[in-house]
Amino acid sequence: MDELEQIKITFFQECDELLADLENGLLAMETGEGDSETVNAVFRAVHSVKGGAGAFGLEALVRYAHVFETLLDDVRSNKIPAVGELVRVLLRAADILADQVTAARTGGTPDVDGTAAMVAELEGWINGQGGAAAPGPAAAAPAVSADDMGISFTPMTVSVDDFAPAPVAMSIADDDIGITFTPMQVEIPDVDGEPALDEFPGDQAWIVSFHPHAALYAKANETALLLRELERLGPIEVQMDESDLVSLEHLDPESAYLTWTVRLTTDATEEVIRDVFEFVSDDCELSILRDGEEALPELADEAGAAVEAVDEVAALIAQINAEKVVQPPAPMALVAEAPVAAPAPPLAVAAPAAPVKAAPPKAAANEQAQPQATIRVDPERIDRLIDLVGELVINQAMLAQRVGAHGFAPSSDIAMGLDELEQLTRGIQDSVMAIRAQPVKSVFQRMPRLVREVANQTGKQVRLVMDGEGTEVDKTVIERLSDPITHMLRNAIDHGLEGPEDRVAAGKNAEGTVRLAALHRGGRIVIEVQDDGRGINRPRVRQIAVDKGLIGPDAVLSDEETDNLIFLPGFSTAAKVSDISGRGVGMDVVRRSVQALGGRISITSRPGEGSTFTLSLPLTLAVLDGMVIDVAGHTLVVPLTAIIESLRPKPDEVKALGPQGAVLAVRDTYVPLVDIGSVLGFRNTLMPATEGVVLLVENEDGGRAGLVADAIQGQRQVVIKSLESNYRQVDGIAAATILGDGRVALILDVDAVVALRRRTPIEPTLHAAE
Amino acid sequence: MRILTVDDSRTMRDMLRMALVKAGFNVIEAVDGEHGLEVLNANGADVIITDINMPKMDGFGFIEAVREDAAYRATPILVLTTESDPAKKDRARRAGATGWIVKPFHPEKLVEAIRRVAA
Amino acid sequence: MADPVSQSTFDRREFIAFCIGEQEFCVDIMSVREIRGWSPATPLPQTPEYMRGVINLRGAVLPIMDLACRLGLASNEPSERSVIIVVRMGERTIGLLVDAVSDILSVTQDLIQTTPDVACDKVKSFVRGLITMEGRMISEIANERLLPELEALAA
Repeated sequence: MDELEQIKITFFQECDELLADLENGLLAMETGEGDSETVNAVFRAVHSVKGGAGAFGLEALVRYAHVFETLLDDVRSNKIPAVGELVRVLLRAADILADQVTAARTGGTPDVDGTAAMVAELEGWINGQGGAAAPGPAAAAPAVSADDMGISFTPMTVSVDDFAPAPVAMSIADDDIGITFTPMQVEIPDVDGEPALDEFPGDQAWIVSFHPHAALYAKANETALLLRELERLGPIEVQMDESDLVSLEHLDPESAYLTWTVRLTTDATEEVIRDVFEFVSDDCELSILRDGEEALPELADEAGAAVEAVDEVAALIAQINAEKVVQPPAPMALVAEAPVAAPAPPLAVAAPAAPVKAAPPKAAANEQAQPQATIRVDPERIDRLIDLVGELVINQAMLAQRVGAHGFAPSSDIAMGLDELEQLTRGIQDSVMAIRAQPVKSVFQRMPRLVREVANQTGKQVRLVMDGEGTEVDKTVIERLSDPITHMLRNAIDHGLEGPEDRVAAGKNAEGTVRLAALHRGGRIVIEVQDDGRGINRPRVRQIAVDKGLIGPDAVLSDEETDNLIFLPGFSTAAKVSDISGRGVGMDVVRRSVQALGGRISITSRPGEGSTFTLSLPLTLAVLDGMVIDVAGHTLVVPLTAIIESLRPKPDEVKALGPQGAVLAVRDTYVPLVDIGSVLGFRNTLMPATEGVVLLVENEDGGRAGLVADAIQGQRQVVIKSLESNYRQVDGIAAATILGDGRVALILDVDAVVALRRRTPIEPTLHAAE
Repeated sequence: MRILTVDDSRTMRDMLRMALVKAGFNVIEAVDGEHGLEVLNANGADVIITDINMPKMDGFGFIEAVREDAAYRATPILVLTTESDPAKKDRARRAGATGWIVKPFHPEKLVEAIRRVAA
Repeated sequence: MADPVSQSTFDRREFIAFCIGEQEFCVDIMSVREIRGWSPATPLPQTPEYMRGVINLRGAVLPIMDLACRLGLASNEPSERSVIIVVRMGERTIGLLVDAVSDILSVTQDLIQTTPDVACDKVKSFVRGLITMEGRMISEIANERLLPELEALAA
């Protein structure tokens, strides 16, 4: 990939981080937890977005960020107090900045009116109009200072004239230097009013004379380098005037005594010559004259006086700074080693016996908390490593199986060596998985905005509290958390929380609280979404379930079972279908997609006090423990978490039911039998359960089924490979894996297989939900 | 020649690295002023390019701290900034900055600025 | 005036040509990742007939499409001579099962007809252009049209 494109990707990744910092900072300011550093961080976030956007010529983004930044700068310098309404405005401004970034990333068009309105609002604050009515869209054109415009908004073109005379060469040059960067050079009107020179380029002799001040050297500028730069423009003759030089005993190494006069012959303009002194123009007396021309003495004097005044201040500051430092008492050595002009601290020279007062900054820096050293690694390399370790796990397991089959005793050298290998393998696997583990923060940080939006739409007041953002989980799971969390939060606000008036009437705070938490429990990640709303209206839920035929009118259900009816397909508790919880996706689909990942979701509720959604997922979707089975000549893997037990049915335990169906008596109940081979189309006739093995599984609504397979090969940990990355989701199949012999085996989606047996079509919305 | 870039923006560090490496420089990086001092003390640098707005220790503080160390008093420091505010540029100069580069920068201008200050 | 040699060089495209039965087809060489021999695929249930299943391509799961079947031509059981051409289709990589690779073509633009007029409508819908050279007629496969089901999902 093109290097610049890669950096652009980095830029957008960084934008995501910056936007999260921005939001977190603003939220802290909202709750009053923010301090001045919070405000600084908020400012920096917007500033950095603007800086990067400028580098890529994303002008709309730069323009918006600039207005935002200007207001934040006012907040930072305490011109405007960051309280109340302003912080809420800033939060909305941050949301729009996020939209702008997204638009820039996708090349889409951001909401022009919304942006214009926000710009107007921000400018209202900048101009001290506070919460006054925002000006109309006419005022939307952001006031970017001309100064900033000149540099930041230079068009993304490079003048290629300098590089290549011929078109062919030009295209090469384009590639080489890249049209990538915005040129910094802008045409500056000739302030000295000497246009003639530009029109008649040609060699011209100039007399450049400059007298460096001490401050020039204090900033690590060097006369020699300036002379070298001048020489690049043309031949030079240098004269040094040392008439100001004092005798050695009076020499102040901090001072500069020399004046240099250079005769330069060049075709360069005065502008270009002056550019050489760009960095030092305030720290020296400089005159650039055409040979034969005379300086205007008054102007030079005036300029000299001004420079001296500035220089005095600078020298004073330099001295103050220098006093902070204390040198080891070796002044002679310092003077001898340093070039004459090189600055040494006056204190050390004037008072050689000065005691050592402070540690050098090196030590000071070391006392600070060490920033964690990090390395950046292409995620694909880690994925590859995880794949390889996965294969290692598989091979190790197969080896163990063969060793067992050859009848080695567990105490034999080989078996014990294998045990050690297994431990090492698992250790490597854990370590590698830890590399890829990420805190759930990246998902959590998107939620405050969602909550704000849903709160606005529903007219409810919501406070979001987040816990355990640092909880780590494998990248594969992180990617799958967002949708279920979104649904749980929407549901909690839309259905769980009451409106402000109802809450006050119920003796609660008008503002509802929703708590989003992540934690590790039992080798899984658990996400909880808790609200302090009204709780589930159980009689109503039960009535709906009965009306819709989901349960019989006489069904006896525990409170918990009643609560969890909301996950049944076709259930919707909202009296009016709101577009918030709704979006066409019910909690049944959420549960299905969660279960497809080996996860579980449930809800508990206390009437009047609130509800809690609990979602649990495996810590990784990279590997799973599976039962390897044979079905009609195919090797399949069934996730172990889905299997309750495996059985070899006796003939009297299997009963035919209908033309094609059969049930199995398991203790006191009958479970439907599902022939995997015929459901997946691997065979046309049903395999009698008595000739094979039955895997007793629990499906989505807690019901059980028996999956009929030909034989069980054994249990094995397998590496999960997506089918979707190169093809698409396949009904009845959760994913694929690669076995020790190099062949691909499919991992069964137990719920989907049971559903296929029932001939109920898979929810078409499933894809949308994932 | 080894160049230390100090910028809290990864994008900007990557940009600088790309331009500098292409021009044949060695590049070391730091994410803020404090980190910059550590990296500088651990590795040394021939030229320093630093941002102004950074967490922990900003560019001004960083430049002052570098100048306080006799070992780096003559190390050129270029300030990298979008700030067009003359007061800021001046403050950087007073802190001891050798020169400045205005973002967004052209690679050639960047290299030119380095050449102008580096022996 | 443009240099005629470099002009035509600029327009030259390369293709991998292959046979299905008596017919010759080709794909743009830029889309081809590798060519490998046939190895038995693990069948995927609930998929169209032309999907032969999946194989392990260095740790990745690679779907295999029986191109003859996809084009509505007579499909033979894969033999030792059969070949899988691994091609990129946007973000995805899939394997095309064909009878044999016949040639690498380097063709100038003027040899490619953009509106092919071939007998079979089904074939036509997957063909982008027609190359005629040395008395042969070679149809360029439009890779992206082979997996319409993906577009439906992406929408």
